[in-house]
This record gives sequence, structure tokens and C-alpha cells, in this order.
Amino acid sequence: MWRRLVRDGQFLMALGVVGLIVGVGVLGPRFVRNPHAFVWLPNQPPSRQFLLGTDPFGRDVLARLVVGIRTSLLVGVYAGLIGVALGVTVGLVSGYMKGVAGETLNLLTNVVMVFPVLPVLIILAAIFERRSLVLVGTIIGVVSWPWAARCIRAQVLSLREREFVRLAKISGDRHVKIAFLEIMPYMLAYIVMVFVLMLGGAIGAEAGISMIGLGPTDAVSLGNLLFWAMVHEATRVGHWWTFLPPGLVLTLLTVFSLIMHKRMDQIFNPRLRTW
Amino acid sequence: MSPTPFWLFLRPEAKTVNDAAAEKVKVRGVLHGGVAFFAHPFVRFLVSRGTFYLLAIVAGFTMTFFIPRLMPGNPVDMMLRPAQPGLPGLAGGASPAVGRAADFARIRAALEEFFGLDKPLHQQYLVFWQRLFRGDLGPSFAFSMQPVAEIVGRALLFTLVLVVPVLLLSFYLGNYIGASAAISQRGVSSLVYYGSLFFAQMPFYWFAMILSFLLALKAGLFPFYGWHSPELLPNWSLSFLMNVAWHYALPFLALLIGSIGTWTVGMWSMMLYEMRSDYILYCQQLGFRKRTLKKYAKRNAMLPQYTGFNLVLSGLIGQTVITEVVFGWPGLGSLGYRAILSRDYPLLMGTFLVTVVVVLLGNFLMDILYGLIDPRIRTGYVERG
Repeated sequence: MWRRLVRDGQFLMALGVVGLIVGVGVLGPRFVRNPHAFVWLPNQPPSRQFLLGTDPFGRDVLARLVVGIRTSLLVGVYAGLIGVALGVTVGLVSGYMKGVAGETLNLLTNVVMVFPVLPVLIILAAIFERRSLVLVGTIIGVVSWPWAARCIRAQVLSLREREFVRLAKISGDRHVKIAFLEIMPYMLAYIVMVFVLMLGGAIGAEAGISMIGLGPTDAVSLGNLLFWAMVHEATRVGHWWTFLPPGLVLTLLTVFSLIMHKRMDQIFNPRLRTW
Repeated sequence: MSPTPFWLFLRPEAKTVNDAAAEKVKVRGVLHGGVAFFAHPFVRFLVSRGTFYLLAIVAGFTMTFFIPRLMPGNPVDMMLRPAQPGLPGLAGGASPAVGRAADFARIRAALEEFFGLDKPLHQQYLVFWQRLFRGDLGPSFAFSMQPVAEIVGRALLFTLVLVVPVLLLSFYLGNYIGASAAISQRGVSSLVYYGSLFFAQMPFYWFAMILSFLLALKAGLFPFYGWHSPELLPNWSLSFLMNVAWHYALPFLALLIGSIGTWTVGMWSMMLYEMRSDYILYCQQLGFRKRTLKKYAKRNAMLPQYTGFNLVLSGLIGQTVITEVVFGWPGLGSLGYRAILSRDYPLLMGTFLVTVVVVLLGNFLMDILYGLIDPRIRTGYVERG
């Protein structure tokens, strides 16, 4: 199956774009100017020396973009890890356990799921005076697990009736061990997919809360760039280079992580498999 | 057997109108019309969904009650810290909510009275609910102690004016575009798909900035900011309404185009899935026209789209909130933004509560409609009962 994935054209293209952006985010900050330093006249349009021009404080927009990509990716990874951990745990337990405990967890999942994500993120982030990158990632992860839990639960419901689970039960394994060591490995490919999707979603969510001034207070992120472009009324004065690139990177990142997810789904999910 | 429409039970002759239903009622041992009303699967569906959303609302409100109290220290002090005279505000300078010492004491007293902080926790919680039922959300100190409920109510109107038309229109247009694109030539089809995927995934507020740049700055067609020109006073005259519509256009367009993308993507995938299914292939063999095939496939492809309403509504509210800030449209988003900048915690909570109620009510409404639309849900509930 992995070999089929590697030969899938769409998947490779998506992987290429996401990989490129991730590469820029990981390696880029070494090669650009200091994103916080006054380097040139403020508000200069793109030129050969400053590829994306300068912002109202005379800082290099390209440098800020590259560092912003890194921050957004980091927030996405933190949020993705926490979201996946919570989603997998809740999904596994609520799917595996019959009776009141499972139903209660399922109800909890459904209740959390109906809340609109962004407003909840806003009031959670608003409590904190200073928000580190990790804190923002944690908040996003804590809010965004329910859909993952639901998908995983659905899979566990069918997996727990399989022979090997019964065998494990007969041989006297403890439930925790069965759930995490017998059932979970069966869904690893799926969990990777969930992580990819959650990463994209978390980066979008970070941009959303940054846009109203509730993002990380100790770092430049993509949403932070958009926020300052809005505060400085970049559209009114025509400084397109301050708001166009961050949004474009954000969109490409989420679109192509979604395409990656879709292709993986098509290959790993037996119900959608067309070959 | 198809179930009786539940409203038939509201009429006294209902049981004679549908003998089969009456039979079923008898079999269950439920003999009286009033009980039969609650025994009807659809009514039970309503009751169970209603209970669920009520539970969700209670959970959400309880969360807003506990969040400020779980923080160390007195919640009022926490809320007021940035507003204390002499302390720096958000951007380093004086905070917007800063007042004279006398004002500060007044605000503090009002908030402490409002939260009932001298009482034990469970009593505070009861007071919290009492006030909610009275529609009292506390005073806002960013708006010179006006009641939060009043301010939020005004803002809610502006948000709904934006969200509801966008939701309905984008649903119609997106499904139309998605269904048409899915059965057109391969090139067009995938172009539409990836195009709408882009529109669906981009931050709508970013698109709003682009529209503002292109249509307001470059083309000069629309205003940048606000909901009416500053030289006009709000009134109900036609010219003023036209002015409002002129300001409305850009935020509306930004949200509409993004939402159309969302629906198109869903419809396109479902349509492709349906077009591969057996009944369509059979009809194709029989030589049905493409238009007829599209009609049949679309009907089935639409069903998952209705369930998508809940998800899209939640997402759209989030996007709307921020797009409002970009355009200064005075809805819940701009209000929340102002509350954040001035650290007006009661106002932020009020805004949040109203947003949550709107989303949950919308979800409930969609559940009901979906129950009416999808025959499988109706019959499914009959068989289970």
C-alpha cells in the first residue's frame, strides 16, 4: 500500500508542496535577515534586495514570512500531537468500552463537537496575558480533538469484534493493553492521516486567533503577519506584499495537506479503494 | 410501512385517518392520543435532539462560569487588571478601558455585585443562571457600563444579516456548481474542484483583505470600512439603506465566495460517488439522458450536504467573526475584538454565549429539517421504536 502511495501523482505533488513549505520553515530562518530588526526604509514594495519589501517598521517581510512559517508549523505540530493524543484516547476508550463509560465519553465528544471552534479558542486564549507558542498549540489541540475521536471510535467499534481481539481477551490481556497495543496499531495509517489533517486545521486556527490579536505573544506567526497588516490598514494603503504572501502560504499549506489526506484515505480506506 | 406524519396526532381524528398507525400504537400498548404523540418516532427524535442541545448549552454556559473562577485570584481583579489606573494596557500605552480611580471603584463594585463573589460557589452558580434567564449578562465597562445583553443583541442582528443569507445562497449555488462540474468534462471538472478547494480552505478574512484591496482600493467600487458612511446618521430612509447595502457588499462577497467553495467541494465528491453507483450505471445502460441522470444522482448526493450544514455553520461563524473585524462590520466579531482589546471580560463572555446559542440553535433546526427530509431517518426511527 505504501508503494502505491509513493506512485500516486497527486499525493506526490501535494507532498512536494507541503514539503517545500515545511523545508522553508525549518531551514529558511538561517538564511534570512533578522525578522525583528529595522533593516530598510519602511513600506518599500518588493525589490531585488528585499524580495517581499518592508513593513511599516522597516522590517524585512520575507524574513518575517519565513520565521512565521516556522512558528505556524510548530503550533500546528503541538496542536496536532495533543489533538491526536486526545482524539485517539477518547476514541479508543469510548469505542472499546461498552456501557455507561463508553456512552458518556461519546456524549462528551458529541457535545464538544457542536461548539464552534474559533469562539471557544478565543475565550480560552483571552484568559492568558502572555501566550507562548506551546500554550497556543495546547489550547488549539485541546479544542480540536472531537472529530478525530469520532472517526476513531467508529473504526474501533468494528475492530473490537475481530478475532484477534477475542483471542487477546481469552489469553487474559488487560483491556488497556488490548486497546492500545492490539487495536491501535491497526489504525496507525489512519492516525497519521488524522495528524496531517489536524496539522492543517491547527495552522488555520492559529491564524484565526492571531488575527484578532490572541496568537502567540512571543513569536511571529503567519496569522500575526495578517493581523499587523490589518492593523496598519495595508489594504487601504495598497501594501499588498504584507498580506498576500502569508495568506497564500496558509492556504497552500491547508489545501495540500487536505489533498494528501484525501489520497491517503483513498488508498488506505478499503471502502473507498477503487483498485 | 411509512410512519404517520407526527402532526396528524395533533388532530383528534388522527387515529381514524391512519388505521395502520393506530394499530401500531395499540401494539405498543399506548392507547391515548396524548401519549401517542410522544410515542411517535419523530417526536421522540425531536425530544432526544432537543435534550442533547440543551445539555450542550448548559455545558457551554457552565464553562463560561468556571473559566474566570478557575484562574488564581479574584476574577474581578483579573478582569480589571488591565483597566487599573496606572497600569499599561495591551499595546503598551494606556488601555482603552482606563478610567479615573473613582470610575474604577464603581466598575469594580458593579462587577463584584454582579458576580456575587461574597457568596459560596454553588450560590454564585445559581445566581449566574438566574441572571441568564432574566437576560442579564452584566455591565460592559468598554461601553460605559451599558448592559452587555443590549450591546450583544444589536451586534447579533448584524452578524445574522451576514451569516444567514451567505449560508442559504452559498448552499444553493455551491450545490449547483458542484453537481454540474462533477458531470462535465474531466478538465473542467477537476479545475472547478481544485478551485473550490482553494476557496474553501483559504482564510475567508484573507480573501476579504484581497477583495478590499482589489475592489475598494484599485477599482474604488466599495468602501473599506464600517456599515454606513460616517457623514450619515442611521435612519430607515431608502438612501441610508442603500448606503448600508453598499458597505455590506464586500464582507458578504468575501464570505459568500468562500462558502460556495465549501459546498462545491462536498457536492462534487458526493456526485462522483453517486455517478459510479449501480442504479446510475443501470440507467446509463438504459440510455437515460445526462440531464436525467444528473437529476437522480443529485437527489442522493444532496443528503450528506444537509448534514454538512452544521459543520459549515460552525466554521462560517468563526470566519464571519474575523471578516467582520477586517471590514469593521459591527457584528459579534467586531464586538468580541473590541472586548479583547479593552479586556472587557463580561462583554467577551456575553458575545461568546450568544454565538454559541446561535450555532446550537442552528444545528438543532438543521437536525429537525434533516429528519423531515431524509426518509431513512424517519423510517429508521420507526423500526427502532
